[in-house]
Amino acid sequence: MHKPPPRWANRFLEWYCANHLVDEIQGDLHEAHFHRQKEHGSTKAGWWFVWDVIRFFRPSSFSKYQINSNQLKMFKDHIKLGFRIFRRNKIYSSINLSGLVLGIACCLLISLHVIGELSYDDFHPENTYRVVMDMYKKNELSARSTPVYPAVGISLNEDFPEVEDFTRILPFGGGVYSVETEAGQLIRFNEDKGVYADENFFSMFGFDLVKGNPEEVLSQPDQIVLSESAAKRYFGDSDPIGKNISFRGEHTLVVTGVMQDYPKNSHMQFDMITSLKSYDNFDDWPQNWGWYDFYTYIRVDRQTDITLLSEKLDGFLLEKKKDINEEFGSREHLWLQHVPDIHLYSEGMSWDMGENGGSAQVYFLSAVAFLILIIAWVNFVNLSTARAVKRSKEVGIRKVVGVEKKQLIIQFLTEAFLYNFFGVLIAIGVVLIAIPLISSAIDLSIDPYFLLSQKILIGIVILIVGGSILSGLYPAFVLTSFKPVSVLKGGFYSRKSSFGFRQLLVIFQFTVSIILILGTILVVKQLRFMQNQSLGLNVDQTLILRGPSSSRGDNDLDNRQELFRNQLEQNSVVKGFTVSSNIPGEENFWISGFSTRQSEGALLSCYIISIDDNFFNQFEIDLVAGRNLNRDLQTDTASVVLNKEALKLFGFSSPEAALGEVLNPGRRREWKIVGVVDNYHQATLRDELDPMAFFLNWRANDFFSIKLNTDDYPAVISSIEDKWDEIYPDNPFDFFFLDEFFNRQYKSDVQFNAVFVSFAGLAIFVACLGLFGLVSFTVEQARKEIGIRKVLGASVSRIMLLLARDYAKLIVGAMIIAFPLSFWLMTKWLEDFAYQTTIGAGIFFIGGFFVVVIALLTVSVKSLNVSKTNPAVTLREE
Amino acid sequence: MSKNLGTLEETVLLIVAVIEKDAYGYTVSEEYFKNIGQRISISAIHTVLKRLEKKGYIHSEMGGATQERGGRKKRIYKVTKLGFTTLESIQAARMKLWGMMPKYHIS
Repeated sequence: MHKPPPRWANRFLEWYCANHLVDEIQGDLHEAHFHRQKEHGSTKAGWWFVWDVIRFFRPSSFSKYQINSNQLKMFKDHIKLGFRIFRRNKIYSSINLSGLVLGIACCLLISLHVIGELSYDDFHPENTYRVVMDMYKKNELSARSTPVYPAVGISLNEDFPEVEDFTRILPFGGGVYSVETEAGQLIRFNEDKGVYADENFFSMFGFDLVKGNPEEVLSQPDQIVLSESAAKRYFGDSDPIGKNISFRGEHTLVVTGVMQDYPKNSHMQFDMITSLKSYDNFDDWPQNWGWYDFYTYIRVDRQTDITLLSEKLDGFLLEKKKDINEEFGSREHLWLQHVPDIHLYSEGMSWDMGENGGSAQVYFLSAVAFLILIIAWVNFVNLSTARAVKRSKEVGIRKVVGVEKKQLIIQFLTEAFLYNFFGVLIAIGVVLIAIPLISSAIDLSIDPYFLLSQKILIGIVILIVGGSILSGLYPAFVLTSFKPVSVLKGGFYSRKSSFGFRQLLVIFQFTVSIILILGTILVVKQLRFMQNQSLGLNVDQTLILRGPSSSRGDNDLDNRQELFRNQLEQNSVVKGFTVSSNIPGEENFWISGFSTRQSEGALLSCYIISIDDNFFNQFEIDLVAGRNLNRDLQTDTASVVLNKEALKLFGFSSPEAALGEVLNPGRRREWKIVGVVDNYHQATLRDELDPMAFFLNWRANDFFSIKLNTDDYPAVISSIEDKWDEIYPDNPFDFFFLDEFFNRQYKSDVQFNAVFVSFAGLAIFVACLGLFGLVSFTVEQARKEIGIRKVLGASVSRIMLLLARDYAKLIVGAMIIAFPLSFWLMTKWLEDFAYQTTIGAGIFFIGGFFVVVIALLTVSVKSLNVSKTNPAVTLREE
Repeated sequence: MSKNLGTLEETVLLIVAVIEKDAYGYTVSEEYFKNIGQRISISAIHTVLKRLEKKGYIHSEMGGATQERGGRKKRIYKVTKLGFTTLESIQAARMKLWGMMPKYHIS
């Protein structure tokens, strides 16, 4: 697909280029871009285009007009002076610049990430919404469900004229897909990005088909559309259209289309889309108000008032499901999510596709980036005003010679501009270097192409201009306010200057640093707390195989499972084998309503797991009361085991009281409660424990868990794979370790942690740069005072103490502000977690100590140097 | 302005002569890369073409626009009579010098 060159660069070209040259220059560059894109990719071609545009930015391309040369000369003079002053004091200038660079780079990096997050789903038709629902049981919010009933889309389309079209997605297309090659080889993969969808899927969304007609690819039963990469997996380079692909062994589908791989910034990520009509017993379900597994999207008329439609939707289900709601004491409210908002604003939604809901993190990151930038600017202000003393003579002489104040201010602003300008340039370099490092270290997606986007470039311009003014104005006024007479006479500075603006700035910097450091400690502590908590079950040394789903007939998978189980039991390192419909760390989509005697007919939602009789034993889940499910008992196909959380849900007073009771009394299927087990964590400790009901069903073979006792994993795995291939040649061998799988849920927390640590590090580093610069100047000014003190007999340590005291006060001040503030922030942050670590005094102690040590070290490096100098040296200068 | 040709100018002039029909900034720069093996920016090519035109070795007229160019017209260059004679005289001078090259230097 051809992408046009970056728009801003193109505009810039049109702006500077003389009219009679536009044709040849722009034409040539566009043509070059067009060809380069094919050869080198759009990112590189984009940069190349920008570079060419810059190369053409020269007088010969401009339209001719006059510039006032006098002003230009003044400006040139300012710039030259700026460079000279930078060189005159390399150390302080570099400190100043590196602080700025770090701040800006940090800010840019985060902006790139944030823009990436904001760019989600911006390629769909404008007025597309997802219909989701809030579910209440007994007036209590029980779930915010993203999938809804199949009848919702149909009746919304019928009842509301403003709803133009709808499409439904059923997420049950996962499993084994296989293709037999001409050579007789079976290509098989476990696919988890497979779904069923209505036939108008491709007209609803902005996903492009490479092959196939969007109107027809999903219109008939047994049709499937593959993504480009999936097509490559199964069919290589040959044309897949019209070829067969088997789903779960028994279901043959015909490939009717190939779609482009989904962009990273899409909340939907599908590899295979099967026509909804292929689903077993498909009948469109126009009256089905009970089965909520359908993601439903609607497109509304352009003129629709969304608030009005939302109001109508809010009461829609109350009307439609009146009878059911009254019977079971429940109610449900539909509401709309604008598709581009789904990625960021789906916090707390259940059964969503992919990882959505990061708005809080995005806001947090933006705030931190902004703070660091402010710290960097504060540094600049601080250092520039500190230098005022050194430059006071220069200013005095200029004034005496007759320079106006206005010109002086412009001069200092120009210097600030130069710093900010080069700061931004270097920062862009730093960002380009840092992106690959960051992506590999913490898997945070940052796309450097966004650097060329209009938003970022406007941001950069604002950054340079705004930064120059913000950071240049105060120093400019301070520096120009000196009275020539007093400055030139000398003796204008004393160490004991009053508590001023600069001190305030230092306190601000350290307040932010302390908050970030305390935050870091807390994040680490919470993460460790969560990972060390007992999960209520044992996930060690457990190998998980994705269960086979490709079968050859009715009882085929049962028989083969028995065979596989027997084979494994002969292996001496296999300590146990169990099958289940779900494993810890995997989101459970299987939820159903049950009633009990206590619930008075109301249906209470409880998660369901199908297991075999070895499940509790193998995962070391404690039985609290009653007995385990028993495969040899005929009656146990109608038995159930609950966990403690489910007891609470159904209103049983004790485990013993629940034994012998039934679920769904008087209804079609009754389940006898035979046992109660302890709770275990199905998800991370971020979430509450779930109520769960366990049913005996060894046909539910979604996951095979194998407990191992060995050190030589590769050998064991390969021997298991051999067995698997013997018994399941039509199913791929997919394995992972349960402990790693479980811990992967903490990925976002680990990321957050890494980001936090680096920010805190940066903030304290920048703050120390500022402190170092400040101390250097103070000490420099106080050389004479120190010399005299030494002559009069003061020791080195006394002088150090004297100097450190001034700064210790500032740090203590910062702590007084930072501690309560961070305590409040930390409490807020912890509220998100179901299981929280304690904040504790230790955090403040460690954090405070750390900051004090770092700050004092920074101060003493410079002051030690000065206090050790021989007084004769300092006092001789005059 | 001196009528002397620099190396780059000479190469570009040759390329324009070789392309014959469709010589403009982009094609010349691609041709340069293909034959010389070095990248040269389009802006540099433009400068050279302008200079050659000023010296009278080539002349130009506006050509058609294409989709890839974003609908912009091309400025198509052709070698003038002066251009050809100059190229020929340079080549002749070179050949003469090559002819005088002692044989043992040529492998």
